Order: sequence, then structure tokens, then C-alpha cells
Amino acid sequence: MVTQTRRRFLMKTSAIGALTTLSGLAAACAAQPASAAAPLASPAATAQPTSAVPTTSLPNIRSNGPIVAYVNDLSSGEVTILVGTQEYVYRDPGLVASIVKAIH
Amino acid sequence: MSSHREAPEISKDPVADNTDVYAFVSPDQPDTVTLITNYIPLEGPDGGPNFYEFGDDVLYEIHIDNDGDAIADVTYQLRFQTQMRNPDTFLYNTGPITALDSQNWNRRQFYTVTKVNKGGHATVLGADLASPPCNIGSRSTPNYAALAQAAVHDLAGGGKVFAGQRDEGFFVDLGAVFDLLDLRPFQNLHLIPTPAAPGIDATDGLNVHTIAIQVPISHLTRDGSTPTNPKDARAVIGVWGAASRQKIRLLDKTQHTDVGPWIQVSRLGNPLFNEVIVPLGKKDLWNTLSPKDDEQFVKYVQSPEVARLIPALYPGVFPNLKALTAARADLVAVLLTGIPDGLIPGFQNFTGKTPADMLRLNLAIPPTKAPNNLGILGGDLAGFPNGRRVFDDVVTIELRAIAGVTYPLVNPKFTPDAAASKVTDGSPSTDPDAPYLASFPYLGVPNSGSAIPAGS
Repeated sequence: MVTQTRRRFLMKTSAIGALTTLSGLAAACAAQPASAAAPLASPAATAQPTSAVPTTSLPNIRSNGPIVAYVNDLSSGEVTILVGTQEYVYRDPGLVASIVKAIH
Repeated sequence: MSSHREAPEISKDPVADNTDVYAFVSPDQPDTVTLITNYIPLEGPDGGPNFYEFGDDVLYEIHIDNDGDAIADVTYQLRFQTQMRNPDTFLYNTGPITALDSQNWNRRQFYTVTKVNKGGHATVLGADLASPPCNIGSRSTPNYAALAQAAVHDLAGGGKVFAGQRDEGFFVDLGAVFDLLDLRPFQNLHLIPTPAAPGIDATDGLNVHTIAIQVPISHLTRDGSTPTNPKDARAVIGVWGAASRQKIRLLDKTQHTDVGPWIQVSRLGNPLFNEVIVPLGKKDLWNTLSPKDDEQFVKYVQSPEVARLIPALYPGVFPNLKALTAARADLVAVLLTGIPDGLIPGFQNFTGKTPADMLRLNLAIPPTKAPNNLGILGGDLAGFPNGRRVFDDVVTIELRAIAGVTYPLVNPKFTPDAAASKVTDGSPSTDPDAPYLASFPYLGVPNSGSAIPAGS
């Protein structure tokens, strides 16, 4: 199994969005060092209206369609990744901090 | 109305707005059950040039629970795909459409039907199935009834399906009901009295988009049987419809793309549940939930707002209802658990103690040869709230139930007000322009755009 890293993830994704507010960023960065990246959630069932549940790793994502990532809550350090009908919640405060830094 | 534009958010999304759900033992094929979910409320038949169609970006589902846990054991999923022949004309059709493969038909829809069991195993029952066009008018769709009937398709493994435009079978005096509950025959006794006037079918002349599936009863029961004993718990199924959209939409200049898991945006079991039982602040939430999550709505059934409004708006007409302050266990049974055995001779549709808004159908009750559109209130055990047939007068049935006529089922000492068995919205229950059909898909041929101009 290919080890998932933040850099590899960024290279694989074709789109990244940050839909969030800036409040809580400082707290998030203080509470979670960038090296604390850890996957949290598993894919939602295909064609079943449901939400993401915890997982231990991100899968090898292959998709011809877009991949969308968004941050819903800066303080959580979590990035929600959407591909096809799947949803993953990936915990990576460093990535969250980088996204916020990029839009400043 | 039953569930037309019943919640703030879904009222802005017509193609995903589940307006009515029907479930009944097929009168002409009594070894089968027919399941119908309707979408797109209040279609004006002349609504061109972009006539109504299902959403390619919507997941349409009919769920069946057969073991009383309010979780789907069988689900039928439909996904649509639109094809355009000629992008260089504004016309829906460039000549008469006389067949489903007509070259004159410019914008067609095809769909896939997939059956999913509780374990998630999916089986495609039909693919590339054609929907019929809308009933444009006498020049464009000259033999519409036959054209639409050609769009009834057989399903792999047995059964049939239809997905397309139909006459709106639901009837209600919409304007009166939402004008501070203007009910018949008591208009002159309202707090703001008006002269007596006949009811109006506000949906007369309008169309809807229908998904209808007819399958052998044995495909839906927990053990694959065809029940014959109404007392048998295995004879009862719960049915609800749902529509979902993907979580994110990316808008671009030329197209949009959807990505992410399916998020439920509409559901419907019993008619009028979200419409008049659930309060405004929770209607959108309700649409996102599953029936298994309905415990939080029990209090609204036990003490429905309409039951308080009726005696307040009609002073002195409903004194017994006004004095009835106990929790409405009768309505909980009708809407959330099913009616237990022993309350109505020869009938039960109890699914257990889990409160859940599902349309409950006892499959062992055979179709009635001379149906009464007041269903069980009219002594017809094959009608609502035992499932729901296309012609059942669910507005009157629910109004009378809420007004107290069903409360003696749980408290024989209660005497309903004399007015409770008379109250109705008064809308005509027959539509001579588009009568119900005696066979699948049962809802009438849709109104023609050229024959019935909108607003007439």
C-alpha cells in the first residue's frame, strides 16, 4: 500500500478549496503541529445518502472527475475530501494551515 | 399539499421535491404491489420550451422496510440521463413525436433502475429505459396515451416500471386550506366567516413526474412469501420515497459537475406529514433524515397543531376536540407505528414500536372491488392508511382523523364531535379530463399543453 503523505496527496488532487472562516486558525496551529497529519475518516457508501465515518487511511484515489477538498472547521485540523460519491475526512492541521496561508 | 413545496429548501428544488407516495396491492394484478413516487409539483402542461424532466443529478429512491426497524431492506434507485439530438434549435421537438425513438424528439431522457438490498448488494433491473416526452400538444404528441404506454418497461426478474409525466392525481382545495384553514361545510362558522362555496381542485389541469414500479409481492416481503393472513407481521411493509443530491456542485461556464456522497434533500411517507405536522423550523431537517430518526417528531403527532387550530378557528363547532388534551395515541398509530391488531376488525399494519413516518401496507388485504376513497374511515381496509391508492382522499381522511374520529380507537369513552365526521376541504375527487387508469401506472394521462393553458 502506498504511504499517503501530504505532498503526494496535494500532487494527486486536481482541485483544492477552502470553504471556511479564519477564526480558530491560531488555536488549530497551536494545538496540532504540522507533523501530526493523520487520516481520520472512511468513504461514505456509494449511492447511499450518508456522511463520512472514521477510517485509518486514505485509499489510492483514482478518478477522472474532480477531487474537491474543503475545510469546514479550522480548529479541527480536518480536511474533507470528496471524489466521485466518496467522502473522506483527513486530519492534517499542517495542510489546513498551508491552505489558509495560501489565501492570505 | 400532500408534500408539494412543503419545506422551505425543497420548495426551491422542484425536480427533487417528492410530492406524493402511493403503495397498494395492484387491483388488476393482486399478486403484485405498486409503488409510486411523484416529483416536480404543479407542472403547468404548457410549460415550454424546456418542458419538465427528471434531474440527471438527482438520486431517486423508493425504500421498503419489511421487518419493522424503519431501515430499508429493499431500495429501488433510479438515475436519469438526458440526451439532446440537435443543439442548434430551441425546439423540444422538431415535428410530431409518434414513437419513443422519433427523430423529431430533440431532448430525451433515459434511466437505470437498480435494486439494492439491506446489505448493499446492487442489481441493475433495467438500463437505458426511455421516459416518454411531456404531453406537448395535439400537433407534437398526437397519440399521447399510446406513446406513454410504450414507455412501460419490463424489469429483469419480474415487474415493470414507468418514469414520466402523468396527470396530478392528488386533489385538494389548496387555496382554501392555506387561507387559515377554510374548511367545508363550516365556512360560515369560521372566525372570519365566508359564504358557503364548493371546493376547488387546485391541482386540476396540472401534471407531475411519476416513478412507478410494480413488482411481485414476494419481492418485498422479509421471507419472500406472498402473505394471505392479515394478522401476520410478515404481511406489513413500510414504504417511503427519497431524493438525494451530491454534496458539492462545481459551476463552470458550460457545465456543472457534482461530487461527493449523496445527501438526502427530500423524503415522504405519509401524505401531509412534513406539510402540516412538522413545524416550519424543522421541515428542512426532517427532509434530510431517515424514518428511523423520527422519535424526535413524536411530540408533534401527539399534539398536532391542526388539532388545536380547528376548534380555535371554528368556535363552538368542535368542543370535544378542544377538550381533548391527552396525547393522540391514535395519530401515533396511524402515522408512526401502524395500527395494532385488535383495534379494527380484520386489520393491522403495525410495524413495531419504532416510531417512523412510513406508508404502511398490509399486503394480505386484497384490493377492494368497490373502493371507498375514504379508505379505512369509509370501511375499506384496502385504502389509506393501509398504504395509499391514487384516488384516496387523504386530505379528508387526515382532517377527520386529526379532528378526533380515530381517537375512540384508543379511548372508547371519547365521543368525537358531530362535525368531525363531516369536515373536508371539499375538493372534487374526480377529474373527468384525466381519469385514473385501471391498470399500471394508474395515474391518468397528463394534461396536454395545447388543450389546457395554464391559469385557465
